[in-house]
Formats: sequence, structure tokens, C-alpha cells
Amino acid sequence: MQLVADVPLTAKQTDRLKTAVGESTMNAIEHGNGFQADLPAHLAVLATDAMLRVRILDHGGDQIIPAAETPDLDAKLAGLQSPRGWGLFLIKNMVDEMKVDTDSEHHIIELTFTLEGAGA
Amino acid sequence: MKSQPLQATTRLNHGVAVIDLTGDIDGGEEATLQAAYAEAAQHCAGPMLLNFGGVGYINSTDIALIVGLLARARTERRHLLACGLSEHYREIFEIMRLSDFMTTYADESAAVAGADLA
Repeated sequence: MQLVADVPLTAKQTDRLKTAVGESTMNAIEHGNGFQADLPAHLAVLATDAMLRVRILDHGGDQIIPAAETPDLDAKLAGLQSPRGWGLFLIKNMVDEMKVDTDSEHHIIELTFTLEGAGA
Repeated sequence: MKSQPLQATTRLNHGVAVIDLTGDIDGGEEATLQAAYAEAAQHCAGPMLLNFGGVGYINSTDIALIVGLLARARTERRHLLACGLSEHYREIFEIMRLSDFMTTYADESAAVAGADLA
């Protein structure tokens, strides 16, 4: 959070940022890098007066990333689906914009927060 | 951010079996949560309240564990309630529709009062 200490986020945005970046980084470590300690996940923070953008990069570029579909809670409660599988859906709901990109080596998720008052 | 190990204790409050959670729920804490559920179920056959007042951080893996508890409670036809969630996590429970199946209350007294009406 030190990297965004000077960014004028609201308290709600700060909570959402923590959740979104935490989930994305966990996905990067687990799914992208397969828990390999020698493969770091990289975070980049870009801020302007209008927005805050966080990019999380891992080495899972060769993997197919499923779309952030709405989990079927009824099916999960009925035992028809794994209770897991909330991550991308949660991330998408925490941010103003989520983009996912890949190249042959890397998987990148980009999270954008519009700063309050921007574009008014 | 260093996580605090999850601790779960159980007690009875006016017919509601309460599970007090403190620390951070970790994806590897399923056994702790399921054991706490089993212990709380011994207190009464009525509603069960998950008190999140001492929990600092909840992630999607933790939510999967909560979904597991909720599924178990539904199988046993037991009402599962929640209290002590911050505004942020109450919002997440609503986004994920957990609130459709598990009534959330601001605090324990409200939950116990609400459970009495159920």
C-alpha cells in the first residue's frame, strides 16, 4: 500500500484495491507461476490525476484464462460445483475496469480505478 | 501483511450457537472451521452464528470455505447467520449472493434478536 500512499483513494476504494490486488497476486502465484518460488509475480503501479492502474504479471502466458463468469452459488451449495472459483468474479466486481492479456510467456491482469472527481 | 492464525471458539447465546472467529481465515484452515462447526452444533440444534468481528482479511479461498459451511448447514436444515463483517465484506457477501442464504447482522446482539424471530 506504500506505493499508492499519495493516491487520493476513498476508504471504499482502498478496501477494494486490497482485495483486487490480493486476489490477482494470489492467482498469479498459484495459477500463473504454479507456486514456483523462482518465478516472481511482478506488480506495476501507474497513477494519474484521473485514475490508478495496477498491473500484475506472471509467467502463465501459455495458459488459457477463463472469463470472469458469475459463479453459480446454487450449484456450489448443492455440491454440483467446487465451492472455489470466485477469484476473477470478485476482482472484476472490485474495480472500474479489468483487462486480461497474454503473450507467449506472460499473463497480465490490469486493474483500473477511477479516482473520485476525475472526469467530472 | 503478516497473517494471524485463525482461532475459532464456540459458545451458546440464547439458543444460538456462536462461532467466534479471530485472525485471518486461510485457505488451509478448512479443518479448523469444520471442527468449530461440529463443536458449535453440539451446543444446540438451532441457528448458528459466524462472528467475524475478529477477522481481519477474507479472500476468495476463504469464501469457498464459508460456502462449504453454508452447504453443510443447509444439508442439516440449520440457519447459518453472520455478524461482525465490515462494510467492505458485507458488500462482498452481497456481490457473491452469500447474503441470499446467510442473513448478515451488524453485531451479535442483532443476530441473536433476529434469530429469535426466525
